[in-house]
Amino acid sequence: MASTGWRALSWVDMCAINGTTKKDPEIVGRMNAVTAHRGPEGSRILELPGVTFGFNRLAVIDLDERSMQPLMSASGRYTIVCNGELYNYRELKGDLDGYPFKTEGDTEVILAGLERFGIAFLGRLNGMFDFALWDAHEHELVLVRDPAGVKPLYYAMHGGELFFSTEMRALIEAGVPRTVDQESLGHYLRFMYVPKERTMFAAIKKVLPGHALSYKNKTIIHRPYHSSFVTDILHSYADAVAAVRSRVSDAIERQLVSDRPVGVYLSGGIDSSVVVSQAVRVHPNINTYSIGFELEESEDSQKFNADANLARETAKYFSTKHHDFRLRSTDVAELFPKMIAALDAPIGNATTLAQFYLAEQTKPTATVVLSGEGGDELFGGYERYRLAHLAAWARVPRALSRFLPGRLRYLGFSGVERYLQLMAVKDSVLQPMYRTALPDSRSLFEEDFSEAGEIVDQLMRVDERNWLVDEALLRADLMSMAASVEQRVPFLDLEVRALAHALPRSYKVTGRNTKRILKDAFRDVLPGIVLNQPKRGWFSPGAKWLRRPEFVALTREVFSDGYTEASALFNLDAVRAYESAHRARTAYHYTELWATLVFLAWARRHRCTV
Amino acid sequence: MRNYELRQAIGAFKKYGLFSGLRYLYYRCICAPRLVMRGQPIDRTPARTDLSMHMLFGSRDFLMALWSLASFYQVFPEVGVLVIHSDGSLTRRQLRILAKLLPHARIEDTTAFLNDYGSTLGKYPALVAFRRDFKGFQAKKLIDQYVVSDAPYRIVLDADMLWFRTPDEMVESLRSGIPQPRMMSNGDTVVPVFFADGSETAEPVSRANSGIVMYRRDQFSLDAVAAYVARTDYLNKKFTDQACFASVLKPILLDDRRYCIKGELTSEVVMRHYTSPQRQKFYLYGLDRVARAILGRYVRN
Repeated sequence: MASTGWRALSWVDMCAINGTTKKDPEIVGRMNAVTAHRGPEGSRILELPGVTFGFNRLAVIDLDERSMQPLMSASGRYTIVCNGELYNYRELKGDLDGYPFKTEGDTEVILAGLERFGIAFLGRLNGMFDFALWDAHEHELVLVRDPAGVKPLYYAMHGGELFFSTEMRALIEAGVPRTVDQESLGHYLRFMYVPKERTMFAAIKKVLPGHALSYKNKTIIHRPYHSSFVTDILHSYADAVAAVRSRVSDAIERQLVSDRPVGVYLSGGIDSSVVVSQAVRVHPNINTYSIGFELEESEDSQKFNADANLARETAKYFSTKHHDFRLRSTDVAELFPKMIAALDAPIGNATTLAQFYLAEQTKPTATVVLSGEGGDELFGGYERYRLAHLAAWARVPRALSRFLPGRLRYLGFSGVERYLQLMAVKDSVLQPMYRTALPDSRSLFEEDFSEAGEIVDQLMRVDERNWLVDEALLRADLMSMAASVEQRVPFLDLEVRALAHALPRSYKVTGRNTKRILKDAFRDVLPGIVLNQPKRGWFSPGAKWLRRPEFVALTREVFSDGYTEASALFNLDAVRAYESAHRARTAYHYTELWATLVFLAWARRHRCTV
Repeated sequence: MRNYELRQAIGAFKKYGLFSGLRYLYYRCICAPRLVMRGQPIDRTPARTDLSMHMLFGSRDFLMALWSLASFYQVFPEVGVLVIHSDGSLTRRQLRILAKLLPHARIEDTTAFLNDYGSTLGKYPALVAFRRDFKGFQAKKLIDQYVVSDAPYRIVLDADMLWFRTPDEMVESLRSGIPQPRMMSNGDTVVPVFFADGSETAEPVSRANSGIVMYRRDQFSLDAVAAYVARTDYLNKKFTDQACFASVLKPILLDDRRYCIKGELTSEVVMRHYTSPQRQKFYLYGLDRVARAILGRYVRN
């Protein structure tokens, strides 16, 4: 794959950062070892008075030793370890004349910017990143995560010291207790991921997207920092369409830059097709990848492969070099333990397996892949947004709505209630499986709904802040990094994000249309089959896998008494009864069974305690 | 509708005809108040504590100022601390609205300025007298913004402006530490100010407009302001703040095609200043451009 000719985006794209305020290089060495899969091309530890930094490196662009981290600023005030990349570092560098740059990379630009502009400089960073910064003057450790939350970052207080890492497994390795947070488990069973700052481990927390956590004098302070990306006033819908076309195209072009092979994950939906449509302008025969499922005819093969088939047609339309992988049901049980090993946090979505398989298959031909994550949340792609808009318009009284059939009965709910109805597994289904009372999930999201705006704006905001960050992006990061593939998400470029946030709802979702403006912006380049397809989620035949003989043996083992200490949290008789009923097709319990299966297998892998 | 508003509305019909008059009434009386009715904050959290942004207005220009700030926040990436200088006429309701729509703003009452900050001007009795005796808004705009903030960088904005695009020149200058002050330009219009001794301001000073003033604290000097004021016959109302700002700061003037007072709203225009004689145009040929983006759901397609 040819590079685009100009110097690539960064020296160090994929990596893991680790560290602690304790003077203990041995512990940080162990943290580096367990996260080596994220950066197998070099590891380094740096001890400073007050902090020990660790870094694992996978150089996508250049192997120059100067670019190895940690890096120290010219004055010696700041030292940094950074995971990820900046897309606008060349532009930022232009404002930093006079700084004695030693590398051509992006990480040093952060140091130079902080030296010149202070913490306000964070708002100008466009990229996917997390980093830890030691301020020797203030004797302060600052942990920073990108505003869109593309890259994960965790921390824990243990033995009076702060530990941090890109992955939770490193914190566990450092001795942070493995106790399961039962409240998080309750949220996980409801939503299939753990939202907000909690994690499945009681002692570990997330640094929230767009936040800087500072640690000084044994005190933690969380500060949101504000992205300074803005957009011109758009006078008309036509102006907005042109702006979307231009910003999305620019973002895709920026993110195609790499000296290693680049590809695109293609689902056949609008978002990934938009990415391909612009990618082929730079790399005419770019590799595209999709995944389908080998199923028997009786297993709705067509239904589960509709996306893959559409992706194949789309790839043909754009003349890409398409790789269409098929995951065989017979291989799934064998793949499951490998996926669990790659899962740093439990995610109860069977698509994770397919994503893991896809990343493994992609690796030989691409080290960097672009995907369409974020397009639905920013431009209003989900059907539930349209229904919510119609419901708000129709103002169906709640008392009446209960008499409506199927999903229409949700027309009577609003705000956080609507969200929970749409997104959470019902307590009546979950509670029999779970030994303790399920937590209050409503209060988690109430703040998101307390901000002003129409119901569609609220739903999009809550999805972008929660499901996208803590499920979709985390899943993408973990599964791609497990195969040492870097997944980039151009729709979450901060310029695109700022534009999408500035657009009125009516440009995105109407009573008849979802993702209206994105479709209009790329209507002339997308094939009709993509534009005219109804919106489908990308889902795997997990419910069917659970009924296969290979999987039945696995579930029996995982759902057996004493499989792991965390098994004690479940009423396993009820779980097994659900499993039997699901297998016998007398009831459908796929969602809760899969989430429980993943959690228990994950808990055993991490030797969780309760 | 108060007298001033009534005069403006009648003026719109007289100057621009029936259709435009009705259009004025729509934007002034129906569309513009929606920003208040919506009740959502229009500002952003200050990311820079080293920058203060100042705007002086009163009850008469209240709505116009809100729209001006809403459009400014939409396009300006470097957010500092907003200081609103109330001319003392803001009603309690308007103050409540400010607290709701601009929750991060600090409000300074210009009528209390000499009580609160008079001692700061102890070295400059002439400026205290000028601030006390000159009744026009210009003295408040000139002196208060400097005294009430310690921020090293500052932007002084008029309330009768609408912003359409990111002001790249200003942003770049700010990010470079404002190497040289900047002000708006009056374009081809030269407005000389006559001093008490009969002399007048030179051409570059007479061409500056104080709709936008942007400077670094050390570039401004109360000594220079005092010297300028001493030359003027301000008691006979012969004083303009823009000439004084320009005389003290010696600014680079912003491109008058992009930061304009007259002419078409082309795609190049970053900001338009709707100065006194053309206030109706703020609603007639400005608000329509920004309303959709700012109000979003309140404006139909």
